[in-house]
Amino acid sequence: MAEREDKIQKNQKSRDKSTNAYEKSVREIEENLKAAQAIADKTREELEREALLEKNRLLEEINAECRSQADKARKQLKEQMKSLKKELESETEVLAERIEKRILH
Amino acid sequence: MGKKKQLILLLLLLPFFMFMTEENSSSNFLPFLGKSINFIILFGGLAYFLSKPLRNYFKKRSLEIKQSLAQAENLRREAEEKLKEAEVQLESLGEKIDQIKKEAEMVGQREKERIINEAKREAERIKRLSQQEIELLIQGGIQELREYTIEMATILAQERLKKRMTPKEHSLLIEKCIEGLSKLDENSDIDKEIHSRAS
Repeated sequence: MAEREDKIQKNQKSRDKSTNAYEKSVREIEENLKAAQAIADKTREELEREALLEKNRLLEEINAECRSQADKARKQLKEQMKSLKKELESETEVLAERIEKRILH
Repeated sequence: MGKKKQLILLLLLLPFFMFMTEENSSSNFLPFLGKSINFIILFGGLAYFLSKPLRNYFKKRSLEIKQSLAQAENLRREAEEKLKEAEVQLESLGEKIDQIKKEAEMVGQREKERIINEAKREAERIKRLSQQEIELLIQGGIQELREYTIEMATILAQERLKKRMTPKEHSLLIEKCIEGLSKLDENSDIDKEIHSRAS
């Protein structure tokens, strides 16, 4: 009977020891995995943040470039319109003459 | 000789040993015989009635003990196996962590590329819109120049006509206009006739 008890006790002790060690290992695994996941999330977020910053920079740059191009074109057009109107004034003489001739003859 | 037979023999002989030591005279033989018979009946009956439940009880108890021993052994083995598995997992944990980090890096890079490509497409769209705006400005300018030219030419022609026109030329122009209008009217009459004939 004592031998039996001793055997059971030994098994139980060994089982408890193994269970404790197992739980400790599982906890350790979980903690390490959590930490790794946190690092991974941080890395991913950092990359996304970088990409968004790059996107904003690119769009701001292109917007500024386009605005400047449009402004430049508007300015050039305005100047060209002025000079073209002056040039056209001499052409209008010819046109007016043609209108006059057409009406009178 | 079987165990059962040995037990019966022992049961039969036991009262002789027990009671013979007390009194060994022949005058007491009958009470001795009675006691012996009583003894045999009592213990024989007890043995007969109790042997089966007792055997069952001990069998059951023995089975229970075996089972509890096996259970304890199994539990110990299971715990040890779990521990081994955990240790294996723990050993490969570094690899797994590296894999998680690599995957996150890969996913992040892909997302970064996607965002930047999207930004590039958006930039191209903005450029196209800007080009369209500039083209519209140019078209507007051309239209403005046309209108300006026509307006200027009309004003100039008006001024020139006012200056040049004599009363004779004026009446000639009126006649010419009337003639033109009557021609128009005739044309419309011919048209009407053609239409009526056709219908």
